[in-house]
Amino acid sequence: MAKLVVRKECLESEVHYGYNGTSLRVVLKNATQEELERLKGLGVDVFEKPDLKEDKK
Amino acid sequence: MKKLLKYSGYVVGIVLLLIMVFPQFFLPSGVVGAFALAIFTQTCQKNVSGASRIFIAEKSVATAFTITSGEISAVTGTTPFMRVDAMQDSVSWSELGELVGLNNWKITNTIEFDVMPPSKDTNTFLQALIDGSPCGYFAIIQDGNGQYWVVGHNATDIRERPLRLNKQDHKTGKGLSEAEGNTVRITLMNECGGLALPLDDTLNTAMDAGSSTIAKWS
Repeated sequence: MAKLVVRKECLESEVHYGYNGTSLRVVLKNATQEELERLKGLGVDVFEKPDLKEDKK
Repeated sequence: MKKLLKYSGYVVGIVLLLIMVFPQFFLPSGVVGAFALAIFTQTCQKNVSGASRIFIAEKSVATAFTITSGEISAVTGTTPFMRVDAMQDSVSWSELGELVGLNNWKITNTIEFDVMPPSKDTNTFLQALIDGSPCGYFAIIQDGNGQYWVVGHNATDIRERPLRLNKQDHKTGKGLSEAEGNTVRITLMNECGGLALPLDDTLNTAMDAGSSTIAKWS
């Protein structure tokens, strides 16, 4: 799975989200890939768009 | 080895000193309770009382809030906040902070608004609020200055103390001269540990334009 990269302007942001019935908080600059995967699954839009050239390879 | 220990001691000391002097550089953004008192500068501008618009979402459908520099910069959800057409000048939001004991601070949010006329449609709306109340709500309120606020979420409790339907009050009134007769007053409330956060300028503008996808417009 491609590594998720947070957009530079969002690095200082914090996301408050619901996960498995509980509320969690993550500062994006400190987020692990697992946390970023959860946010992506929720549809949180803070990620770099995948490089098209990379996709072609 | 002695020199190494000596210099590493200096480094640790300097770092600790920096943390004490500039705590804001060492704490995650958005952490509340970490703000040192600073000058408050008042802006010379109009300040209008009242609230005008209200949007409500069930807690379960508003899945994430992104906070940037103390403002909400994005809202993610499976279903948008629903527009509620309340009566003009009936919408109000009160955020009351109180000391509890010596060391605790409690904030009580109260949102009130009137809908009318009592009918099948108001019954459907009320029943949905009654049914969703156990899980709770978040509300977006536009204040008299045009600023939108998310109430029910805060940076302390995150999403754990949402608004709940506190009261529903319908009175016919006694005659033609009773302006608030035959309206249904709805009250949403919560008790929580943190202040409601405003939407940032981008979201505020999109809400004003009716183009924001965080709210359902029609």
